Amino acid sequence: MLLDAFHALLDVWVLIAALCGVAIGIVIGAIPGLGPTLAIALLIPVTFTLSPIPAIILLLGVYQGAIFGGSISAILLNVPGTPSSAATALDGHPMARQGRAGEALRIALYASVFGNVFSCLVLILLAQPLASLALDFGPAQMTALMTFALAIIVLFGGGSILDAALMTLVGVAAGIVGLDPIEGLPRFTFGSFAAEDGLALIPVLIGLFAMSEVLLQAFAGRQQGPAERGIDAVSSQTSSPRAVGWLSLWKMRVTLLISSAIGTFVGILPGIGSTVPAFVSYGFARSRSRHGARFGHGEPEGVAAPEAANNAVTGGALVPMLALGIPGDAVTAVILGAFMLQGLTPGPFLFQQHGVEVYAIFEALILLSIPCILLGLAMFRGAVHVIRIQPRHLFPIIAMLAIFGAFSVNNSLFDVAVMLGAGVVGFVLRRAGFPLPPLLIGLILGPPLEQSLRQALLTSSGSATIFVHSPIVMGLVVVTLLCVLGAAYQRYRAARRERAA
Amino acid sequence: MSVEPPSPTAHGTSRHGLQTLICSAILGLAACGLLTLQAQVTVFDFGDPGPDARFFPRLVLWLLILVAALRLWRHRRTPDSALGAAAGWARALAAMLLVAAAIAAMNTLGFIVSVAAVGIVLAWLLGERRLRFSVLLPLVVALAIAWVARHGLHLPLP
Repeated sequence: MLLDAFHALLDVWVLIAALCGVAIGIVIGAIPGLGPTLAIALLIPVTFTLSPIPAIILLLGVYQGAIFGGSISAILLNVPGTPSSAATALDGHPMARQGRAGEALRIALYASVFGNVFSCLVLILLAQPLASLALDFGPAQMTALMTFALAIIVLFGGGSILDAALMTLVGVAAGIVGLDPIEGLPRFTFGSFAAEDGLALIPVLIGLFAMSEVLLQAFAGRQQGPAERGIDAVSSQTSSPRAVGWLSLWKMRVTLLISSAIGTFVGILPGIGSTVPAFVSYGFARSRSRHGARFGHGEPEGVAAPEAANNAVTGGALVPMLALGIPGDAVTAVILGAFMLQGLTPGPFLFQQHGVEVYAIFEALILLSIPCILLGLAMFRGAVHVIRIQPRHLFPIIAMLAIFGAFSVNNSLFDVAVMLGAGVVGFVLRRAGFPLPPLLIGLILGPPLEQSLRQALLTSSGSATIFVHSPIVMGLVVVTLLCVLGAAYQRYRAARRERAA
Repeated sequence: MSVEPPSPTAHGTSRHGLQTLICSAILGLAACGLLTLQAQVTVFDFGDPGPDARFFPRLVLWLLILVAALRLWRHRRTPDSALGAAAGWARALAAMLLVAAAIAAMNTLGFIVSVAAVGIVLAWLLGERRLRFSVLLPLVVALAIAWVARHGLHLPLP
């Protein structure tokens, strides 16, 4: 299987997709405000004419490139390109201010690649056995699993639990529109034939993450771009003569390993994202370092730890997405949409039906590290110019691409209207500070949750005892309850600490 | 460049602001959904055991009402984020109407004209006044998208 998968990678389109994906990812990640989610959502239409392997590699290349690209503006400007790069800025920017921008960027790059390779190896080891285990799951078990995933997103997604619960339920409710999954009866379609297919995922994604950003920019009006704030002082040091040798990386090996393990493990849990592991691993590296006092003042390990962790999330988040069809965060939800468009439906059957494609993607994820290093090193100086792009030049183009992207899914103007509607909803919710990832994951998991729940109840003639008689269901219920208790304890401790302070 | 989600203190606070408004709207919509469930979901009962097509929507809408009401009650004394400047809302509304108009006119005017118009007006709304960036750049991008769509992706654009 692995050899067949490797043969499938020996295609010029795979190489082009990998190079383009990583380059686009680094550029977009470097621009503050444009994350991998927006980039992947806008690039999905480009993959329609590609075969599944290059199409997915293009998007995963963007994912990897963007996570690293976020560290460029974090180090040079102290403006994280992606939220997960905020921890990188803590030591990366002081290093840049000391004239060590080149060294900081190289450490960030090598740590990113390390975290990525580590998590991909874990992905290869875990995904297939987990999928095989899930093959034994019936509707009752799938219901419990999806309820567990939604509970984790609500409890540990960060921010207010009530807000996350509200957004998850809004997403699940939006998934009701269209034909019902068991009897095929129209629900809340208001007589519209086009609405019977439900809200198409890709237009909703583009609306929530691209159009809402455009509307937020329109709300903010003319803004000062980073270039106007003066980046020349540190940008000229990107090609600093201080190269990062293997010895300095070897000295950080334990930090890199622990941070990658934290990132991978947290990535596997749904809903937490890459910001939390970046800060956790930063704190952990500081606590066990002999130079703890230097953290925050330009310590290289303070750059390596969060970068290894937030890149390790990439492979970790793909484990539940590929094996169980459960996206861990907004980016994997978008990638899940791309998989489905290519006819590769994530879940337990993916490995049986498309084993070669899946293993080719796994191998490509590891091999993507090569273009990531080459392009990363080559693009340090170029990225400085990219950061100078003004919002007033960028966002009209994003709006145009969003319209095209939504239209291209089904050649339907209805989808463009759905995209605009999702954009307006996303804009208003983001203005109010409500989190969007729970909404998106609720929208994705809502229909399969309903299908599993109703199938389970149909097979038991409407009796809920089907959930009690399954040890797997009871196990998942116990784990869910433990998570609820854990979250309650965590909140209680935080409140007590706040009162004490 | 990014526009961070506002915290209650970042854009001023008010007794009842955007969060209260959104929560109330969700509560109202969920209640409407529940009231119109019978009309919106026609069920043909053949005496099958188990839940029908209204079961899941009813469950979700009740949960939505419960959580929205709980949030409104829990945050009844918390300062809410203010609505924000009227000029900002006017610009955002203009951008929404612009894209809506482009969608409505796309079959008549064609993809290139509609999308280029969106780019040009948006650039102007965002404060760009130089012709090469406010007119030429959106026009070139619209032409490039159309060219790639027709010749690269073989998509029939309006």
